[in-house]
Amino acid sequence: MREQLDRELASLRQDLVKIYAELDLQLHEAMESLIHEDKEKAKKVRRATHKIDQESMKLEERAYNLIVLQNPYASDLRLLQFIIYVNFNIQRMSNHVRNIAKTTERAAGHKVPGGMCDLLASLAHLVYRVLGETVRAIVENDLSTATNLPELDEPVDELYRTFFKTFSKLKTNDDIEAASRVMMAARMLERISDNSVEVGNRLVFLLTGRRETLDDLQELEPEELDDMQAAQGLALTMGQKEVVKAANQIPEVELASPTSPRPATSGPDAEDDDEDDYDDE
Amino acid sequence: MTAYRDAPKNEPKQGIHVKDFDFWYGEFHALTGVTLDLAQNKITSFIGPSGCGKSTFLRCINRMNDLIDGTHTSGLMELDGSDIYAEGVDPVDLRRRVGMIFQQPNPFPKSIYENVAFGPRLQGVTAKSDLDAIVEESLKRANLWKEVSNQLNKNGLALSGGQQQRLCIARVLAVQPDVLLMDEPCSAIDPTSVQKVEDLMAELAPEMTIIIVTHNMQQAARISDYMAFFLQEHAGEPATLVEYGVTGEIFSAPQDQRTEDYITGRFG
Repeated sequence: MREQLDRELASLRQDLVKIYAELDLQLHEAMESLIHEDKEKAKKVRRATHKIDQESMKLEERAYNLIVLQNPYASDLRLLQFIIYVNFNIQRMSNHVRNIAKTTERAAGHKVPGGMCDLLASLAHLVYRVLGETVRAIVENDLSTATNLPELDEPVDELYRTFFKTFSKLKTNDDIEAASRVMMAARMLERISDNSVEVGNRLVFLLTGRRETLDDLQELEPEELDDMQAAQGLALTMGQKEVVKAANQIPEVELASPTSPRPATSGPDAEDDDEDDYDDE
Repeated sequence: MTAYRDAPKNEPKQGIHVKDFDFWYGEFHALTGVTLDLAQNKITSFIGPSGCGKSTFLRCINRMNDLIDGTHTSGLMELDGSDIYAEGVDPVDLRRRVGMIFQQPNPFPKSIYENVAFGPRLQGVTAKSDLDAIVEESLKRANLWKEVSNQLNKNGLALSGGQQQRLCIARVLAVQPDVLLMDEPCSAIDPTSVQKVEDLMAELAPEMTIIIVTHNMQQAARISDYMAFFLQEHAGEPATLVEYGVTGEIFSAPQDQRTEDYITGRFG
């Protein structure tokens, strides 16, 4: 029975990383479709996000089944709880990616005011870094990598605010509707980054068993982070080869920032947790 | 090294305080270096693989091991500030304050009434009206009164296993102990009776310290406030206390790898 639980836990963790990697890939595709006005690609992304949702729901069901049938404790229980919460965040991120794809379908043919597309590409690059580092923290069970996530998310928020500054400077002959759609895509990217940081917060409980956030850990030294770690169960390390393989599907992104966004002087508070959403379908 | 996370700390001279406690069966060093405060008026469960010393330690708390030839102890074990192993301590008096329930229900081959009245009689209670009141109250506290109130003269051994266990609990309660030790009290009774004994423990806990040895991990998780994990790591070596703390925390995030491996079923 113990071996059966081990196998299922390892499989769940692998599938979680696979779904995360697929989400990252689809975000790249969605941004490509938006920047190159590729409606066909956008349609494929939409279909792919629906598949991500289905896979994610299956994963959640398997996690609940294990809780009910196997009565897990300690790291087994924490891993299952982690998977359930991360699934929730994956579904939200998937919805945001889908909305970016819809933006492509609706914005195509409009002329996006100068500079906004470049700004969007820069923002996407920053978000790829957050997603990539989140997956790395999960794969390596690395609290230290996770604690970097809020810092990586900061330039996302700053650049997002810059969109508002750019928007406010548009001239009357600029295509305001096209600019609004790019703004919406930027909003989705910013939310994806926040959701990924939230996954990092969940990783804190998985690795330490403590209900603390990444912000709480910012001032701690690496040795102090090590001391916080709870006893590690095999569930967190089994099937590592497959997990690494799944994570390697994620396109590499340089950690250096592609742009030096200037802090905004006005704009919304990027920490607002409201859910912008297009009508689905 | 024992891991303590949010482990209880008693006020001075209150409750059970154990420090650097060791125990030997003759030449065999069975337990070493146990240090802990047992939470007052709470339920603490002792868990660990067979032979890890949890029952041995439990029996040290009311000196039941004194009945075995050649046993001896070192270190400190205090109840309300008094060393229970000090010279002059009467083990019988100690066992009145620290009652014990065993794995197999062990009612006396007497009537239900006499089973419960036995302890108070030894303590000098003779008036029938006083004994009647004690028997009724004890059986009520043990959640058995409704089932046996009209058959108090029936032999205790004629009751079902679960009822017998509750009769034993009533017998202990009749002498008003401060501490109740339970050595796998539910392993020989049916699931419905287990539920009744667990409910009973929850009802009694606010007024007495309860310590239970159990092999049932789910039971430990369900009923205990604190948990102590004992382990004999290598054959022939003494067992020790590996981890002690809040049950919920130990079940969700144990600090010691050995605790993690045991409660996730990877050994034991």
